[in-house]
Amino acid sequence: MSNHNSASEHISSVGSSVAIWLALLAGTGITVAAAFIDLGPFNTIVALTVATIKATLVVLFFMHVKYTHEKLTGLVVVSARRVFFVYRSKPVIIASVLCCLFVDVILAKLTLYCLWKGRT
Amino acid sequence: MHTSPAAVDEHAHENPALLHHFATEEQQKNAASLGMWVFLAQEVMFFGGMFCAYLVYRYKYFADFGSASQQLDIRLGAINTVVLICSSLTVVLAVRAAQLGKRMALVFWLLATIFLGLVFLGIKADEYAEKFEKHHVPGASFSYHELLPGQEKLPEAERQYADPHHAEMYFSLYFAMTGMHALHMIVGVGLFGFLAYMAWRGKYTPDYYTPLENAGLYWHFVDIVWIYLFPLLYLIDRHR
Repeated sequence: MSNHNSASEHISSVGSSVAIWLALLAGTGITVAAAFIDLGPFNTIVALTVATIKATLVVLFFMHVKYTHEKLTGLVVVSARRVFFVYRSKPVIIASVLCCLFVDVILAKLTLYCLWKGRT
Repeated sequence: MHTSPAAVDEHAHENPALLHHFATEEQQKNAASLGMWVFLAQEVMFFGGMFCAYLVYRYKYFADFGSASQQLDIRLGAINTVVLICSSLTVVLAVRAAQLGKRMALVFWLLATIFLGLVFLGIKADEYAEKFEKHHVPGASFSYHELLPGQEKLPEAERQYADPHHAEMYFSLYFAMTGMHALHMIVGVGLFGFLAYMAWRGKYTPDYYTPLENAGLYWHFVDIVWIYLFPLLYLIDRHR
């Protein structure tokens, strides 16, 4: 336990924090600019892709999930199951579960809605 | 806990913030962190339900939702997004100041976060006030007479208007989602007020700053919710 770098021990440098901050601002600029261009259905895709990238940056760097284990980089959002079996870092598993939970809630409620709609 | 004199002596050298029912500081920190993530997990479920409702109704009343979405002020939404992103940075710097034991810097960044949170809430209040003026708040006085997206190009006689009931559904979801988000912001501002006071009293040291870290996680989570709310409510229906 003692050799693991837990999330709390990482001290983020001012430079990297500002870099992430600039990236988040750039992402906001991109989505707003894209909203004024007619891209058809791609308006939604661009907006939500950029939002997901921004959310990932916040989770990885601002919430320190990236620094919880040297091997986990980037895997937080990719696959909870893979992370669960390959990387045994608690915060990563939790963060992955959060993402899956969100998708799961959406899918479960959509399924219920479709069943309800099918009956009426 | 049965303590021999030796054990008491051992404890005396440790961090005073270490509670007696935890074996080590790391265990205490891990327990608090796990609890925070579990809390965030239920927050994800809580907001997930509303996002799902929004998805379903947007699919069902696609054109009317487009019309209603275009009533929002994209500039105010964008400014609020920037304000929240800046507040996330100040939180990161506050936690960093705590880790480095810089007390005044910590208090400063916490106050900066509170300030940015209040700016966000002020802009939100301004947006809400506009909705009240336009009677776009769901309820008895709701009224909505706006064109469906793209109809302004047609001659006047052929133009179609959005169904007010469907637009009302949009605004119900708008107020539910941004209202719950704003409530989280208010809680966060209160939390940071408390933390700033405790930090000013010198409660947090490089050995003990778990409350700051967990409040930071909460604030970043609230930021992420807005990162999704902003495109969904303001942006994706600009063009129809």
